[in-house]
Amino acid sequence: MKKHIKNNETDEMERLSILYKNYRYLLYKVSYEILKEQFLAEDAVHNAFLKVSFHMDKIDDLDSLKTMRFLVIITKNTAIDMWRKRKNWNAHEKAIDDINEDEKPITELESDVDNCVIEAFYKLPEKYSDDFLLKYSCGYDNKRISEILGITESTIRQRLRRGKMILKQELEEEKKDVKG
Amino acid sequence: MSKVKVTDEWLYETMPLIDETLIKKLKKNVDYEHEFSLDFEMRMKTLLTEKHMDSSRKNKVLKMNRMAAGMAMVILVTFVTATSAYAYKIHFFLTIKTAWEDSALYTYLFPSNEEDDMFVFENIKPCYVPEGYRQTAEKEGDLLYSIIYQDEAENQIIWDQQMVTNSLFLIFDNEYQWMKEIPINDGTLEIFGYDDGHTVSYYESQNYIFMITADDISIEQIKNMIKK
Repeated sequence: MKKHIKNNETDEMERLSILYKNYRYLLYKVSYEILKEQFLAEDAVHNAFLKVSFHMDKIDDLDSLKTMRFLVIITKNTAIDMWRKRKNWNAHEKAIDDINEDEKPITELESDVDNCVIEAFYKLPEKYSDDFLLKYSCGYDNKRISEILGITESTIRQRLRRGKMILKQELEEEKKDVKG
Repeated sequence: MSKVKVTDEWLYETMPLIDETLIKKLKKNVDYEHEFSLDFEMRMKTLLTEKHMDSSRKNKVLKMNRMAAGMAMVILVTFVTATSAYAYKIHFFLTIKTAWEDSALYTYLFPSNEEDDMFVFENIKPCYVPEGYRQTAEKEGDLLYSIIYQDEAENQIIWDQQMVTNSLFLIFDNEYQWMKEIPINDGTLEIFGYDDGHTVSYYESQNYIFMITADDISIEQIKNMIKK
């Protein structure tokens, strides 16, 4: 039994090492874009991997989109938490909201999704889009999302509901613009 | 124009495709030549080679939490005056509420390190549930007990009982339309109302936090659920 537990631990460590090897540069980019300082960004990546080590049970395929998204969101939130602690949040709220996964416009990228949909999604406040990605792309249930983000399940539920309303409005606007 | 429908089915179908596009974009311009600092490399090495990962790390975090709690107690007075946070004592733990623009951080601390170990989690069900609702789900965790009630119109009431532990933190949505504070028993019931009609209620008692999230419920019904 003990041996079995130890094997599991070794396996988890190996898997964590692979994640680190494969994604450290990408995650550093994510945290650097928020913190704009090398050592702080490294702290965020380290703290993010520490958090990930507690959630290894949520990771199946190390190379999947789901895993990548999970790591990106954990790192981004860790970096934002660090940033909040260091700065006056209110004064810089706008700046954080403006941080996105790369410079716009996103629709110039090749995608199987209608441009209207991507544009509408892009207009969602980040807190909603993270919940949407974890729920509908990664497939986590509300409880898991609440564990990952450290937010209550009822808040997740509210955000998903409100996010759907915003997304619907944005989609209607986008469609109007296209027709107009 | 045909009405746009944002359903779960549509989202499950579309979001992975959007995600793929976002990740593809994010992966552009990653600096794979970046040299991490020696300190970072060392810390990561320690993290990745630590034996008995789960137990040792959990212990470490627990110790860090306790240290943080101790330190937080020392700086509490400064913290309260220097920021918009405020603290007050309710029964066995302290609640520090920090308001951000769109959310609120609640951090829970025990004045003495031992107090959070004294309690054994005991599930508490509400003795009163509004008429027409029946229990549809029940979840039991180490520190959280949840029940979902639903009526015929599919309105839900979610009952959450969270046990407070040292340095526990919760983040709540702050974008409510109205808020009511009602003294009940030995504490204060806080009710937050949202523009779509749903409410979130919050109450602290003994070693627990009780939260009721409901699509359609009256203040009197919330009071009854908490009171009883």
